[in-house]
Amino acid sequence: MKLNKKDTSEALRGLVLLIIVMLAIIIAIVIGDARTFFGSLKTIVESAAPYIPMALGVAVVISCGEIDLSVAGLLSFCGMLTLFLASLGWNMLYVHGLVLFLALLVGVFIGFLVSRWKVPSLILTLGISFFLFGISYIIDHILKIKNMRRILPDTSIWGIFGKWWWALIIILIMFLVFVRKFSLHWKYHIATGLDIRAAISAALPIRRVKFVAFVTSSLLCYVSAMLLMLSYNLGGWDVSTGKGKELTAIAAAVIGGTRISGGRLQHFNVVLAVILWFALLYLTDRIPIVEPEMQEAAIGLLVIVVAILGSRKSRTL
Amino acid sequence: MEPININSSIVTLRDVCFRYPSAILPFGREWLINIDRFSLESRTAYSLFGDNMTGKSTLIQLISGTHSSYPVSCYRGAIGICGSEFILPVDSIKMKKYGLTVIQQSDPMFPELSIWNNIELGCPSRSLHRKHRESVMKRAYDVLKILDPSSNLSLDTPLYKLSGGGKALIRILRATIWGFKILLLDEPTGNLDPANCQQSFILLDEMWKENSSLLLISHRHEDHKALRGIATKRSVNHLCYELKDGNLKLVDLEEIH
Repeated sequence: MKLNKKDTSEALRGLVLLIIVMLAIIIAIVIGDARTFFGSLKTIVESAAPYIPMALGVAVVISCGEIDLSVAGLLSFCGMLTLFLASLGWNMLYVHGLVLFLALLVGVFIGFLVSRWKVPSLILTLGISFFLFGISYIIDHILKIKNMRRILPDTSIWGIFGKWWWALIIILIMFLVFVRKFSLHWKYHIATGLDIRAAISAALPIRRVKFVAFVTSSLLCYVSAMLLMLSYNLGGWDVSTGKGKELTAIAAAVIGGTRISGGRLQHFNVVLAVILWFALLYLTDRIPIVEPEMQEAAIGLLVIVVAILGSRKSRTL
Repeated sequence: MEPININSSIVTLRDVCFRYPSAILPFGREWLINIDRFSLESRTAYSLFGDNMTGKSTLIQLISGTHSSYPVSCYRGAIGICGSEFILPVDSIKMKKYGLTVIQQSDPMFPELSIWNNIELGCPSRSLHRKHRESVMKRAYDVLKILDPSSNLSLDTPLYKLSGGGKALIRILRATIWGFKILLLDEPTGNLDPANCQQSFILLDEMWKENSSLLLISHRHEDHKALRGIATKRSVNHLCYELKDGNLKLVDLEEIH
């Protein structure tokens, strides 16, 4: 199979991300207290997995020229509502159905306002994030008062992904790759992100593109919330679980090759970037001299380097 | 007003009026465009003349729905296309699905995407894309070879590698290759040299199906003559109109200088 220039640069970026992940693990073993390579890799991938769908969703929105900050609030809201309804003794099928419906409703609401009424997505999704956090705090308060359990019940249909979460992630990535390769809608999506004026001039369905992007993001955020709940089962879910994770998702999307102004998305690399993010956290956790503040500084530095390299490439185009 | 039989024409304009918000027009005119009735018939080529600022491009944008959106009070009237009628302002995506395509000189394209991706984005519907993707791809390749047999252009070539003339030809190819019922051309050769102008009309001749209709706006007399040449060769009508004081008036090509 012959690779074109775009595929080559995507593969190269993926390779670089993979090498950095491996280096981080090796350094953690040599300098820190990490033991085996594959054991460390497993830990990193398991902690990164719940955030992969959310980062992909955010990357989808970014690649059509918008931004979605509501995922943090939505993540928290989905978790809290699921716990609340489960604690009330609802059938888990109905609980998941209702939470999924509400998550999609949030996506539909944002998609409608952004695509039809041209409300700026940055402010709108920020507001919605705060609103959903507020609702989550109210639910949290009720849970505290009534002293309810904070773990996903065994009857949850998401329980099957306790062992098979990676299969879900692979299916998800395969689906997105399939859409990217064969769907005309995806071409509209990328074209809308590249140049909105050109997209209007070519009479592309911009409204539909943006609407679908936000609904997709909300759907993937719901998947993230459920996967995260499984991994939090032992420690219990907290209302602030999603706080700041929208920025993690955006940073992972950008490190993974998503152009912040829209028009480019590399699914595999976004997945690798999320893994890299958690690899760096793992590394800084394992090195005793690194303070928690330095973790953020190191990751911030990485994002800055990627942003500079990315803009350098677009300047030479 | 007499009702128009919209089934006999591809596009009909009924009482179409438009004004820019807070624009002051000369001689106390209320509307920039004020067309009682006008129809674009099949198997006909139209040339549209008019001085600058008379609203020619605005008219094309009104018909195709590609203009910016203004308050509803700026519009009046309806546009019929292939038996359906829409109140102004019309939706560009809907018009594209009915086979109305538009080429404007300043149409931005997607330079980072390949020639083929740009052509694909001109496809009016997903079903059409699914059915005819392969045949259109082959045709696009053949047309590229006809236009420039010596070049190494392929459909995977990024658009930014093409010259301005090359991009103009791709713009025409994108708008026409998926088939059209009516093609609106707004100064498509405005920034082209004579050789590229000639290429554009060769391409138009190649892509034009007889039962469709074509409307050309251009300040270059040669363009209208070239259009007349194509129309004569294909034994289809060629009509010339002038947009003056907001209305369309039938004129003779030879009278226009």
